[in-house]
Amino acid sequence: TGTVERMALYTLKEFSLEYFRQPTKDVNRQVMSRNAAPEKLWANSREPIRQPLLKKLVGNPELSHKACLAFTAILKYMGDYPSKQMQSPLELTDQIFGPATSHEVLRDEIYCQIMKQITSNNNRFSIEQGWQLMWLCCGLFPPSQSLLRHTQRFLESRRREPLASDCLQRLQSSLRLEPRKLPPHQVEVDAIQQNSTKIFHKIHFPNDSDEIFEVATSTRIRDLIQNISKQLGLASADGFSIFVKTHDTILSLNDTDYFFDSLRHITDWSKKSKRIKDGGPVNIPYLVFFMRKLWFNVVPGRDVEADLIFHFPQELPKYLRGYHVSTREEIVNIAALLFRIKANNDKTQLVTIPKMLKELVPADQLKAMSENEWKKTIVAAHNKQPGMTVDEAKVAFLKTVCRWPTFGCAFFEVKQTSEENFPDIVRIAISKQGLTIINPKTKDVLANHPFNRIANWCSGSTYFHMTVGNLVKGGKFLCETSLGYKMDDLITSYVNLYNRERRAVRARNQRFDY
Amino acid sequence: EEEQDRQGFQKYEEEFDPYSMFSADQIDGRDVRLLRIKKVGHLDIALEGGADSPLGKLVVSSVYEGGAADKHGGIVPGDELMAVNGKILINATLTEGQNSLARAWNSGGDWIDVVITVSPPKDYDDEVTFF
Repeated sequence: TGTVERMALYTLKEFSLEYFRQPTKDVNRQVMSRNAAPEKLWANSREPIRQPLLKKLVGNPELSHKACLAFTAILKYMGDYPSKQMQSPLELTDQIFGPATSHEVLRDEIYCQIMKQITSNNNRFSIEQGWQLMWLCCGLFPPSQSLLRHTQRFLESRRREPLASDCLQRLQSSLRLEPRKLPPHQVEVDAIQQNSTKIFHKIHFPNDSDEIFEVATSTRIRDLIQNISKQLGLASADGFSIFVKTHDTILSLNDTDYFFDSLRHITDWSKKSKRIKDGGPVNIPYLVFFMRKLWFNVVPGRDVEADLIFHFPQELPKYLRGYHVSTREEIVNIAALLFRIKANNDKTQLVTIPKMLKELVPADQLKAMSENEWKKTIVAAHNKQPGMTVDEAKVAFLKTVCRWPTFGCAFFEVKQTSEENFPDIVRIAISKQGLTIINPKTKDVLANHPFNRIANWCSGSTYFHMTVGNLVKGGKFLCETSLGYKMDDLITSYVNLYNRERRAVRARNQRFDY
Repeated sequence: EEEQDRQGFQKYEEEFDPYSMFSADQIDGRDVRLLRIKKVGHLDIALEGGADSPLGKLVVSSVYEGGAADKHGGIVPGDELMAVNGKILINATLTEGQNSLARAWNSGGDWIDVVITVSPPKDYDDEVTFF
């Protein structure tokens, strides 16, 4: 007759014969009708379950309990379980997917529960919510081999559903990927609740700008770093990192982790450290930053885009804090450059220099001359400099700073208790050259430890510790700091970088051998 | 105790003499205090270090919001834990320290006695880093 034959909707009926437990005998139903058909476990039901669907879970009381709680959460998410207490969608998706991300045997159960609730469901709202859960599920982990074929046929027979094709695609890629470690992030749940299969996240840059980038459920940190670098037109993504800032910390995220796992990990941890109880306010405010973390091969002027977005705004505060050793001439010249940048090349503002000195001259040098003398020398230097744009002035600033050995260092003020000859408070600088201990008053270098001389290092909430030299005859260095985790992470990252480079060189050399 | 509350909260016991408990070497000129914390809810502090760790001592790493220690107000992260209910913890490992605290908290009595060495206020800036 020319009409396209409509594919029959595939259900888990066949799968259930082999893998589901026996349906429970419902006493009430038998009382009402003696010939009641046995419960169809593969089809929608509005009743909470008292046992998991899958046979293999029945003998495990702990996981069975989790499976039943997950089902109730599915009922609630789909609007099929009236409850007085409103739970946020994220709390429900946590209950549905949380246990399954940590217990692999629960994953099939969750797939089956969701497909069951989509099957023979005639409430449009409930079905749509069910598809959202299916969409989230397919992005987190794949079903086992035995369930995979059934899941695919289930989705293929429902291609008319708006999310079915996307679910199939996500299912396909989750087969190739490592499963996610944590349940969906708020941003992922928000997106699909607004029927958007594309997820966007705001990323902040050190020059106070921000942009929106697409991030998928399976985007890893390293993918995001590549995407951002490409979109900004950076010459290379090497050394850049994603950071998450919460009320009390700023952490750099691990390259190989999934973006949303990382975000959840940090906000969950932050919640735990504030002891916010489950069910309390869920949203921890945070910002995602993209910055340079490792400073190597940074040659100012070579990648002006990177200089303007990252290198200049990241180096400027370190300079103004007085972390570098510089000559009076350099300081005056830089002050004239910073004036151009601050005043947007407006010469009429030269008179206001005394008011903006703190933004032109390092903090420890401010008292070296009177405000008026500073003004005179800076104006003289400004007039001697060739004309240049604000951007050129930023690159010129970097070209001076990059000549100093402390260029590209991260600095930490710590209290040390190991070296009697050092002052109590020292400044630690970490860069590609290693770890340098500096006297903060005189800026003298007290010790210099290249990474290959640091035998081991560790940190806690209140300290940083390292052993320098070999373990038998090594010096121990202990300091009190709340930023030990940052020092720890920076050293680890530089050491990993050197190891990667060494391996690459070895691989190249091996190739030449053949 | 009610009277004490009305007069303003006393954060540590003024009559405590640290030299009655520790040697001058152990005290090393530092500010050692006895705190008496009322057992309400959980103590809610975290420890790190221990005698066998690089840190070489037991240090309070977190004081959680709303816990008994937080409400008392006399302990901050960075303080060294020296003794609990009379038991000296200078040579204790992290596990021993945690167990001592838990035992003291869960045994009888309305108060727990904690001796700490105060971490001096930081006169340096360790809160910001620029990468």
